[in-house]
Amino acid sequence: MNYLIALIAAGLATGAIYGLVAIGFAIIYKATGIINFAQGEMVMLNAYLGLSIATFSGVGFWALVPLVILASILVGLAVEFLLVRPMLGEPAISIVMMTVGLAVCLRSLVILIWGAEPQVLPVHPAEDVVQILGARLYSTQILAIVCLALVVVGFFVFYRHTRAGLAMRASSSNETVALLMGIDVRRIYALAWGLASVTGGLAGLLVATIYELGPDMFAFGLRSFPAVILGGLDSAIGAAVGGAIIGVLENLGEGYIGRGLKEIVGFVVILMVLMVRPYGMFGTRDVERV
Amino acid sequence: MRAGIFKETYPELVRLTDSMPVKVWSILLVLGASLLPALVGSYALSFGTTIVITSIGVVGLNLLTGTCGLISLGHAGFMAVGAYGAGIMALDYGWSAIPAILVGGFAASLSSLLVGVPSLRLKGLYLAITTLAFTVIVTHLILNMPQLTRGSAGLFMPVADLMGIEMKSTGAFYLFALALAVLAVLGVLNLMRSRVGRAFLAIREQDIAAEMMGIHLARFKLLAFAISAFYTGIAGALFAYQVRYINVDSFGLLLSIEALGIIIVGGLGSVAGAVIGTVFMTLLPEGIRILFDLLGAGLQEIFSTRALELRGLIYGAVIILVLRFQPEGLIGIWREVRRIWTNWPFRY
Amino acid sequence: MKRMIAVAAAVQALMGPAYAEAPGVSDHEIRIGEILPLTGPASFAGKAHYLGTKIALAQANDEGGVGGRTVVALTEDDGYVPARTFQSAQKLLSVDGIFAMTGTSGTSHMLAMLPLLEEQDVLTVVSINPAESLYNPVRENIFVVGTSYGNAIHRIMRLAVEERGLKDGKFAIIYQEDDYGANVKAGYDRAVEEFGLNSVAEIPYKRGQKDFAAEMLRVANEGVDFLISGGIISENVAVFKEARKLGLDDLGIGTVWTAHLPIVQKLAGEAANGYLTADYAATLSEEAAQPFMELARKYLDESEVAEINRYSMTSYAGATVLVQAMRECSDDLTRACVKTALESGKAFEVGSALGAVTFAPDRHFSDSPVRVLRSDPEGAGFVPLTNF
Repeated sequence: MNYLIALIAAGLATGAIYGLVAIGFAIIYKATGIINFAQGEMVMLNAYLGLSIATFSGVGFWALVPLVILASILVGLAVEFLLVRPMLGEPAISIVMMTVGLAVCLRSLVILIWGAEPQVLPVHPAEDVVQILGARLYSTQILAIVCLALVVVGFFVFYRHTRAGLAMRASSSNETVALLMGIDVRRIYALAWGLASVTGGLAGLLVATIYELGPDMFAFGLRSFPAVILGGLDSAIGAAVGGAIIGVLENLGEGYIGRGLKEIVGFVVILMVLMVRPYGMFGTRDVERV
Repeated sequence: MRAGIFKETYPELVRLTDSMPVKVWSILLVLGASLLPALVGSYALSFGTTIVITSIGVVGLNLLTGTCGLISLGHAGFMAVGAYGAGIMALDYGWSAIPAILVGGFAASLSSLLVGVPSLRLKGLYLAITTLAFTVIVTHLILNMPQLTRGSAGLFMPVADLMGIEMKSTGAFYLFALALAVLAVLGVLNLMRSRVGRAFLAIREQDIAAEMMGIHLARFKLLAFAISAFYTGIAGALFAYQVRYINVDSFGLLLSIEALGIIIVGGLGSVAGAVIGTVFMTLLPEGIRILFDLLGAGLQEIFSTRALELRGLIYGAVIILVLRFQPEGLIGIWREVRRIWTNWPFRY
Repeated sequence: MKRMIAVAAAVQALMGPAYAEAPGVSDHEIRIGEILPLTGPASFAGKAHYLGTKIALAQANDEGGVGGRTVVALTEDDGYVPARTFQSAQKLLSVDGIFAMTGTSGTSHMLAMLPLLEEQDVLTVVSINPAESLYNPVRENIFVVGTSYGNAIHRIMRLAVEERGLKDGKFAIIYQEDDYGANVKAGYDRAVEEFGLNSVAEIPYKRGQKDFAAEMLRVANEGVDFLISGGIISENVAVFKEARKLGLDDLGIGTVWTAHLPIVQKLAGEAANGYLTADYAATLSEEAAQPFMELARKYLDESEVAEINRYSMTSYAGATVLVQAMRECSDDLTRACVKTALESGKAFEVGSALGAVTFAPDRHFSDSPVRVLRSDPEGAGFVPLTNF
């Protein structure tokens, strides 16, 4: 029993990071209808920016968080302004491939600037071992779970109760009508990229504190795909839930069955989910008219 | 100069080409390519072989993604299945190259049905991610079936043999691969002008409308997957014979992404574009390297330790720039040049 | 076997003039090739290896080179991708022309170019990655300096049994699912069988995995006493951190020499305390390594000296052995002659950081002795528990 709880707790901690990364996919998909294949790379870039900010400014961990969020927003806006905006109106696959190109660029750029060796963040929140229901977790792992919960609540409020959130939902449901109603859809796109980059930045910061900074961090992007598919590509909350589920399933698969199942469990799950519900658990069903 | 084109019958309309210059130049191109082993050393020739083999796979991917509109990130997986299929036949059963390569192709084809079936319900990016899942699972299976695949140890391929004669020299193998590539290109070009090819195009434009017009969606989507995977499997098998050692590391996800990059840069949906894209993207890293060599010793030092990153940066930038400024790809530039050439001094 | 080689050498001697111009050798220069992961996940080893060879060759050329010829290394970066290793090997062999190879990247990377090296009979001294598959069975032209990962693991487990009294304890291994992991696991299996140990969990993972919570929970759940952690850098760090998190203070953890790098201690922080590692090279800070460090400071600039680690010592050893063997043949510089010199059984001195290296016709493997070290990040860094 303790073993089960421990597996689930550790799975939730990893799943929280998948969830944060996956929310980034969902926000951009909901607003613009494309998958940002560079999401994992943006996670990495933002985390490394955090490293540089921490080194140069010498601030503590909690002061670093808002600075990283700020830097992440700038990264997201820069990508949107320089790369996505000029390509509006092109077919979706072109923009998707552009993000693939961006991903390849960012991977190299990070190594060129910060080097290939893994590094540690100079500032850390206190890293104590915490016991919950018999499961032992690092306090940073608890922080990841709390962070995901806060982000989910934040997005729930944002989508329901703020002007920008409503505008974002409106433009994703029908862009032309939204435009006619006086919503500046381009600003919505910029906002989506900014927000996605922020959740990526938070995820990056958490990866850097729980594990370490390395140029292979972008793999978290890839491993979060199952989460966002499971939850439904256009649902931020679904992505968070999907992340938690995938994290737990991975651990259970490894803990009870083993044989390297951890690596593929997520992908097997999405294959099965997609057979039954092609739009995920929380996604909207796409009705198509010819 | 041609003033206009008039076709009187359907067979005439769907002919591969009716232009004498196109025929002559195509034959000259193939002849020129087959003279390569006599002209360059074995290092340069290895690029030739890589280009020829990659072309086969990329032409296959282009058929699925460019022509039929189904985005696949699973082609690294098909390539792995093809390579291992051929490798196992050659090693454990002593089959000679051609049947072993065919087995690789058919094995990839069969495995593609696994992804093809979900594709009946999935579209666009959902499908892309499902195919990505396929690659991950194939890698896992290869590692976990050591009795068949030798697991992580990988396979050492024998030298490719043709009717009992070993193709020891790189030149001979290059010619062999070139012959297969020419067959592959002709095969796709012919397919494109048949009912099947037109059905693929209709599916790309609007699959529900295509179904209304009497195209059996399930059959043709699966067919597109099967043919595409067959080509990629053959490319994988040839790759195994070229490198002579394969393991799962050889078939990373990056390979699928690079292949998509190639068809984007070359020009989506065009066979010639796929080939041009392959030539360009394969030679690009080497071109950058030569450029750096010319720029002098100081840069060389940076280049020796930062080479791959710089190449990656430029590779990604090329994809972005092409998408941004030349969405039709390199083949688009060619079409433009040809148009200006024919119409000059008029604009159109 | 010996007779065959003698005959081959005789044939070669008869054909003398035709072979005088061996590939990569001119009147004033000898080219040797290196293919290394200068970028990518293994660059910590690749860069350090590159610097070690640089030191060895600078020193050799200062002492007059080989029969008046300068030795030059041509280094190619493969980014730790086997297909690129293969292509780089083709470039080195057919465009540049090299006499010998001293840098061979990772295990599967070396295997990818092995057919080329064997067909073209390129003299190869492997020092970055002494995998068992490279010397067992003996390959004509391949010489391996060091010892296998398996031997290192075996040594640590012997220590666990003999000195920690864990003969009846529970053992487990977490290993990478590739050639590297297979080598580690082979040593584990050998020790389990030889000492009759109880192995309760054998857990593979895929390269690049970050989180080891489930794996370590299994280890804790099985009540393991001694764990072999077969990661490279980050994976070992993750395992140490999980062990600390789960409060497994009594769990012994053994690793190969990748954990003998200061970066592992830096990354793991407090969790780095007490793990065991085994290595055939000295620790950079200890007395025995000081002559090597002096050479390094002489031939490298400051930023390069900072990048040196144990892989620099092993590559220095590999390159030095090759240079010494080539000197034996400075009048008749052919691969066959150098090969015979390497096989002669002569003990090649490679500096104090590593023991002397000898080969024999039926043993292309120096089988350098290993010693076990305990990690002590607060104090000396690494404390030797046994002698070489």
